Amino acid sequence: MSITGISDAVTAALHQAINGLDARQQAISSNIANLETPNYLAKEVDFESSLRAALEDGDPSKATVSVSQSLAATRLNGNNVNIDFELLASSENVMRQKLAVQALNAKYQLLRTAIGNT
Amino acid sequence: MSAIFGILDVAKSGMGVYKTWLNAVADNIANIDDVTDTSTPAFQERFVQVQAVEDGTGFGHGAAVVGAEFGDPNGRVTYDPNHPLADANGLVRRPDVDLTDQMVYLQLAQRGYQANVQAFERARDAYESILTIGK
Amino acid sequence: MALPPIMPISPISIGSAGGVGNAVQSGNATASAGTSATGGQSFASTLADQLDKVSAAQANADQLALQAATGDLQSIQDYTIASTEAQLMTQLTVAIRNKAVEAFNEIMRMQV
Repeated sequence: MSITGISDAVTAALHQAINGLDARQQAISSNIANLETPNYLAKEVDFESSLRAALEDGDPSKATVSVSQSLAATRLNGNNVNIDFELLASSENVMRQKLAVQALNAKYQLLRTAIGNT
Repeated sequence: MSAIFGILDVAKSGMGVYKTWLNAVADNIANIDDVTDTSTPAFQERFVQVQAVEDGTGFGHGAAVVGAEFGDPNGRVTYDPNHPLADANGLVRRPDVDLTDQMVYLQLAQRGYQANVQAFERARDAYESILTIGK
Repeated sequence: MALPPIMPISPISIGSAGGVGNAVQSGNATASAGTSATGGQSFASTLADQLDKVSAAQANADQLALQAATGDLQSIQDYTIASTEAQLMTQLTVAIRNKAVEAFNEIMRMQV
């Protein structure tokens, strides 16, 4: 649970989300670097299912990030990275990252309001 | 080398790979009409060997050029008796390079390079956003 | 000696009836009247209501923040609006409490 006295389940969950999205950004970038690498299979990251389960159990900090290989069809050189998919995923991922950061900042701001006006 | 902003490295490695490929293809195209006599090897098509780079996380760490391959030194032996380099049988060597293939590679390499530039910019946006936490 | 008036603010509500503005106005009216009865609710119970509302607003924002974290959020604006409202209500509650403390101190100073 919280190490400091400040974090709660929501800030912990948002922290896990930001970690997961960061891992996904790395996987997407790796896929884009390997667009034409022979026999390379696109990497996919999932943290949402683990985070949902951890939230139901009451401890979001137990969420983990997992990575798997895409089962999409491969081209002649054994590579299955889809450039359009990865570029779109990259943009969407940045948006989600910004949303999570904004949510985290909003939590901190609420605390500041309460603290600053004691 | 940036371990802390590692995704920037991933994108940079991608840019490097496609830049190298682009140069190899440009080289092939530049030498496509390179005629040699039959006692000399023909210009050999340049191939770039690329491998994925992994780090401990399993999320991938980009790609790297691990070597180069060269095409057939025999090239295509063609009958061209009027060519100054033609041998006794009127034969010369031309590179075994197909222009259509090279144009396709050129487009793939350019697209790949641009995609990695975009990946770099997205990663930078994500890091900048993370740096605003608590501001 | 008039008590410093709290500016009436148009109600911010997250669906519940009444809204913050009404709570502020009735609180102001009863404070200057000295005791409860004519304003309807006592200031203490108004403040207690206010705290409930803020709590609910914060819980709502939290719920949507969790949806944002797991990627289940259906509309971004649901979250950003809830978050902003929770923030404003918190600020307002803190302001009310501060004014109440100020008012109390002034009254204490009034004793002869």
